[in-house]
Amino acid sequence: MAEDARILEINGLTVRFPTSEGVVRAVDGVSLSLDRGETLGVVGESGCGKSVMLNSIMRLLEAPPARIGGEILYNGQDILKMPKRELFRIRGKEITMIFQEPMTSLNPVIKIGPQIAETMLLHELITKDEASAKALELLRQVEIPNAEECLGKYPHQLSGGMRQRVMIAMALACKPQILLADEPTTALDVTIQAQILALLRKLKDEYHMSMMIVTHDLGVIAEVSERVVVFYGGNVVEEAPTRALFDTPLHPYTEGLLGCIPHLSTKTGRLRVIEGNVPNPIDLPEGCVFAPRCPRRERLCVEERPALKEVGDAQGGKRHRVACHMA
Amino acid sequence: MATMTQAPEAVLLRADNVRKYYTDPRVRRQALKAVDGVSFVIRRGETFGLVGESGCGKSTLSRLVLRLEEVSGGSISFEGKDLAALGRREMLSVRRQMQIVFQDPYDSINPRMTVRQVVTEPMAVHRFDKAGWRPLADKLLADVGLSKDLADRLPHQLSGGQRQRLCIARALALSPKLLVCDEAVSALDVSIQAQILNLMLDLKEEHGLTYLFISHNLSVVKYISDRIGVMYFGKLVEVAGKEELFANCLHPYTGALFSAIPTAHPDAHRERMILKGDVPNLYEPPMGCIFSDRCPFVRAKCRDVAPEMRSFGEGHEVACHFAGELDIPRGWEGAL
Repeated sequence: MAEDARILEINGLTVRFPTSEGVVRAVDGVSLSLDRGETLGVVGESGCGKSVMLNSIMRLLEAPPARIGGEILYNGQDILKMPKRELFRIRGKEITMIFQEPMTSLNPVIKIGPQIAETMLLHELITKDEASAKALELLRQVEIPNAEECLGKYPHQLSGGMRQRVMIAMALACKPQILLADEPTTALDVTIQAQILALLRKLKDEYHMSMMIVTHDLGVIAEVSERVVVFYGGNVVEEAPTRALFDTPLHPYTEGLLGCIPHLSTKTGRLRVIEGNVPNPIDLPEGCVFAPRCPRRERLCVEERPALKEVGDAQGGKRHRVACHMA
Repeated sequence: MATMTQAPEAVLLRADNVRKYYTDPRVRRQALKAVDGVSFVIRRGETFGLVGESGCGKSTLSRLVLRLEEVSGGSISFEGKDLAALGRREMLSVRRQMQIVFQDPYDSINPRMTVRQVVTEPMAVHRFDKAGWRPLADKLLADVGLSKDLADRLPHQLSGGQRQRLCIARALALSPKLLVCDEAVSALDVSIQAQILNLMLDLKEEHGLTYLFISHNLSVVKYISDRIGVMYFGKLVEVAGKEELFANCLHPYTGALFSAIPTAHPDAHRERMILKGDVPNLYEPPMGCIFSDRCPFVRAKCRDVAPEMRSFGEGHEVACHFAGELDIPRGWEGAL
C-alpha cells in the first residue's frame, strides 16, 4: 500500500503513569495505522488503554505526569514532538474528537450557537456572523430539528442525543481530516444510538474524513467500521478487516469476546465466558497479556510476549494480524 | 387478560394498574407520570424481563415493587398480600422475600465494610442466630464464586465483577423468593457480564428464585427472561413470552427497539425502522397514545385516544389501536 494512503500512523506507543502503587502501563507498545477515508474501530474492555491512546493522539494527556513514548505520525509529522503552535493549528481543526458524555464535554454556560462558532473563530479567518451562519448550517447537517431555535439554547436544555449531535457539529466545524470518537454512543439509548451511528456514517462520506471509533461494543463496530483493532491490557492483540474478525477471529481473546455476548439468536443454555479478570495495568504479565485467562496457554505464552504477525491473505490490501503464539 | 386467570398460587407478584406520579408544586403544577397504569404478573420461578429506554419508568417500577417508594395509585401484591396495606413489621418480613441487585456495584456497597460484613448485615437486620452468620456467609460467598480469601477485604480491593457477585450474595442472604435485578449487568464489561449472567442462571436453579430483570439491553433480556414486558414512557406497551415477542412483535415501538440493536455481523442486512425524534418530554406527554409523536404508523385515532392493553393470543398483550394490522419490520433478525 502506498505510504501516503496512511493519514495516521502510530508506532510503538507507550503511555505510563507513575502512581504511589507503581507504574501504570496504560498503553504498552501499540502500533496501528489509519488510512485515508477509512473507519477504524478500536474495541476493548474498560482499562485496556483504548481511550488513553485516543487522548494521546490529541495530546490531551499532561506529560508529565504521563510518560509517553513512541511516535504518532500525522501526514508524516510526529504529533508528540510537534511544537505547541503547530499542534494548536491541527488540534480541533484537522483532527477533532467527540467524547462519550456530551454533557460534561460541552460548556454549560455558553449557548450552542456561540459554542460551535468558537472553533471556527479560533481556526479560520471569519467574522462572527459568518461563523454563526455556518453553525446553523452544521446543526442542520447533523439533523437537529428547529436548528435556529437550538442555536440560542444551553446544553442542559437539550436531550442526550441532541447534545451528541451538537458535539458532532462542533467536531465537523473546520472540516477535519480525522474524527476521533471515544465511545460516542455509549451514554445513549439504543434508538438514539441507531440514529447517531447512521448520522456518523453519512457524514463520514460527505466530509471524506477518516474516522477512528473507540468502543467496548462489538455491535457498534459491526455497524460502522471497515477494519478493527482489538485492545487488551494496553496491547493490540488482533487487527483485521471487520468481516474477517467476525468470521474468523484468531486471537483467543477476540474469540471469547465474540462468544460471551448474548445474541438475540442465542438459545438458552450458558454463555461462553472468559474466566478471570482483566489484568492490572500496574502488574501486566511478562509474557502474553492474555495468558492468565487463556484456555490455550502454553509455556511459551507465559515467558514471551507475542508480536503482531500477519496471517492469511490480505483482503483488499487490508491485513489480518494477530499477536498470539498459538494462532 | 389471559395471564390473570392463572391459579393464584402460581402468581408471585401482581401489579395492578400501578401509578407513580411525582409532583413538585414549586416547579410545575402538573405531575410527572413516571409510571402510569402498569399491570403485569410475575409467576413463581419465572424470569420476567422489563426493557425500555432511560426515563421510561422501569427503575421506578422496580422500587415500587419492593415498596422502596409508595404507589400513587393501583396496587402491588406479593403472594396475595397488598404491599401498601402492610404495617412496618409485616413489611419487614415480606421484604425478606424480595431483594434487589442494583446497577452500580460501586455505589451500592458500604466502602467501610469488609466483604463478610456486607454479607452478614442482612442477617443482623433480620436477627438471625449469630452462630449461623459465619457459615452462612461462607456458603453464600462460595455460591457466587468469591474465594474465602476475599472475606476480609474491603470493597475497593475488589473488581467490578467481584463487587457485583458480592451484591448478589448479600441479596441471597435472606433466601428471598423474588430477586429484582435493576440493570444488574449493565455496568460490567462484556466478558464479566457473561460470567454474571451465567451465575444468575445457576443461582436461579439452585435457590428456586424468581427474577424481575430490568435492562435496556434487549439481547441480555432475551437471553435470561421467560417473558418480557416493553415499557415506553411510563406505560407497558407490550407483554409476551420471549419467543412470541421476537417472532411476532405487534407494537411499533417494540419493532423500533429491535431495529435499533446493532448488527451482530457486518454482512447482516436488515430491514430496519429508525425512529425519528427524541423520547418525549415527561412533563408534556403527547395526547392520545404516548408513542404517537414518534410512531411511523400514526393515524388520527392515535392522537386522540390512548390505547388500552388488548390480548392477542396467549399471554401476548399489546397497547396499540392497530396492533396486528401494521407491517412491522422483523428488524431483529441478524441483530446482535
